Amino acid sequence: MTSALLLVAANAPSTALRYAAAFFLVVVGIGAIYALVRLGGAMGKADKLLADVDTEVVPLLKQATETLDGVNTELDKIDVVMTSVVDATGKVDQTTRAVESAISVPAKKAAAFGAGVSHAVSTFFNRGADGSAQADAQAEQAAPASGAWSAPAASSASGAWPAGGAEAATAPASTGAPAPEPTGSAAESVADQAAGDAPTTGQERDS
Amino acid sequence: MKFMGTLVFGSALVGAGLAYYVRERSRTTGQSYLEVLRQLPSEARSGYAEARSRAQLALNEGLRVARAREQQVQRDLVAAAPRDDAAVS
Repeated sequence: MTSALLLVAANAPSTALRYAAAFFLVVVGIGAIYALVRLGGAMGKADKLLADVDTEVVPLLKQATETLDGVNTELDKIDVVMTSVVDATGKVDQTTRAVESAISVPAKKAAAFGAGVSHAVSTFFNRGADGSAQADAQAEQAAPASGAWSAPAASSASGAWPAGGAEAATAPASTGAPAPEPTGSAAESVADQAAGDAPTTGQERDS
Repeated sequence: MKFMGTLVFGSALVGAGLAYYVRERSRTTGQSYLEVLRQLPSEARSGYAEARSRAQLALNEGLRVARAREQQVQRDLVAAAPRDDAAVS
């Protein structure tokens, strides 16, 4: 009896381990069965999902393809329209340039002609400070050296057109004729005339 | 008849102008009418020469100003034109 107890005592760990291992294996088996059952359910759901996708997405893809084809067709039309717009823009640009050149050249010529005529008239009727010397020199060259005429010098001194009082003051002496002495009201009128015909300076004319 | 009328009218007009000029000239210079009439050709020559010189000077000045104005307008047009890089941007 004692030996039996000792034997049992000696073999007790091994037996416990065996029971424990058996229990563990049973538990693992139950867990595996449970996992497989759940996995089977998940796989069934996935199968159903794939079937739904197959039945619903494929028509959607077909519709998307048709839509993209339509979009491509519209894009082709838009491309044609844009090409036409670019051509029209180019033609408008060419037309604008032609009109600009057709208008700007006459306008430029007209502006130049107007400015030239205006300045020429102003120069003709108003002798400038620098222009007077040149005009007088040309007048002296063009004037005949005969007779009693010395009016250009007098007119150049006065700078007025036509030479009035200043020329009148010098003309009798230049002609060599006896110059009558302006007395009284005649002298005053001569002085007034000379003062009235005094040449205007360039600044006064410009202002 | 029409020509004669025009001639008479023109002569009267020229005579009146000449008389006015002689009278004003005599009044301003104190010379007699005869002196003024004697100096009339030389006055006319001097006036013609001066007018010609003035016309020459005015023509030169007008041409110079016209060229300057044309260049200025050209510069203004070039400055007012849109640039190509601005159009691209």
